[in-house]
Amino acid sequence: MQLHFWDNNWTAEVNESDSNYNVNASDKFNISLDVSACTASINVYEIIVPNETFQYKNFTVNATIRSQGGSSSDVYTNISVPSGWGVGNQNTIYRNYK
Amino acid sequence: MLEIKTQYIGTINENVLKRVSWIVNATTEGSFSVTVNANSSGQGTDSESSAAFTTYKQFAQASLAGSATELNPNQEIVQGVSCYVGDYRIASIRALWNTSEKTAVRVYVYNSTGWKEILHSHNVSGTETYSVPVLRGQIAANESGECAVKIVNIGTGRINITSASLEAYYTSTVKVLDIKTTVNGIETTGIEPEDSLFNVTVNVSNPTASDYVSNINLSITAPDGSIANSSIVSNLNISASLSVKINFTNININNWRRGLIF
Repeated sequence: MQLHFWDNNWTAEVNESDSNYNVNASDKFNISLDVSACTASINVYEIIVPNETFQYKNFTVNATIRSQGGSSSDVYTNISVPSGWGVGNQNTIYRNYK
Repeated sequence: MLEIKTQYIGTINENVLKRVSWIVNATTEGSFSVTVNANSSGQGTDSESSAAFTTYKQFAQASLAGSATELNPNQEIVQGVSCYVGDYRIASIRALWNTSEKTAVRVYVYNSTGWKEILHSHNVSGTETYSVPVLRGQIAANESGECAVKIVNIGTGRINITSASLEAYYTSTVKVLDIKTTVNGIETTGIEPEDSLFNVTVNVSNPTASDYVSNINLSITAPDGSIANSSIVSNLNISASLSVKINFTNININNWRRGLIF
């Protein structure tokens, strides 16, 4: 069975691959989801590095952090690099992804 | 992974991305990845590693051997500097030259089999410091362990080559530095019919910090593509930072056709 939803209008229908398939889509229904029991989680979404770097030449590591299922507070990020490498000059940029 | 740099980014609301950046300075060569960790006081922690990337080792700027030289038209100068065995990703030849006349230069680098043109023609008038880029795979150490540069005066005036230097980035790799053929202990590039046996010495260099075990296969190919001789030395240990010479002795040419180049 497949579920389709647009905002608060949900429908259901039988998969075409089902051995007993027949065209039979339901009416649209409003469904309320209670997500109060869900907890937010922090997520390292993406890390961008160059393919090639050069000894003693600076390069930038960009990471994208997001929070799923709600807000995350007091977020710290850190980067681990090989021993002896230098790290510095960080900055943070914010943007909505929706 | 020891060096860790932490950033506090506060609260992240749902549906908001926060991009965090670090400026990193790599000090060692090889293939690496970095790891980013995020943790929240109440929302747990997450960690991801980047894709692997290559860091090339610096060959710091070094002067090419040879004193200042004046080149007449059509004259050339070859200068070299001791360099490491490896795959050169990028390099730069920096030359200081001057002329009281108008002329032009052409620049080549040695790529382990021959001269590779890297600057076809550059007009010179007066005094100038000029950098010539060298791309991936265009330069390599020769059998003497030198990176060599050839500058040719292709113009109509004289030019003074005051100095030249090389700066490069490379990865250390095990390489065949040289192959020598000898007959009766004398190096040669041709064999007389009465000399039915000859020897080949292969010089293999391991500039890395690790021992390397390898099979060294000598293959001699005839002009028609057929294999005239194939010999192998198995499980040869080449210690870190050392070169070894492998001798393939008494290679018999009795059945080889005369007059051909193998």
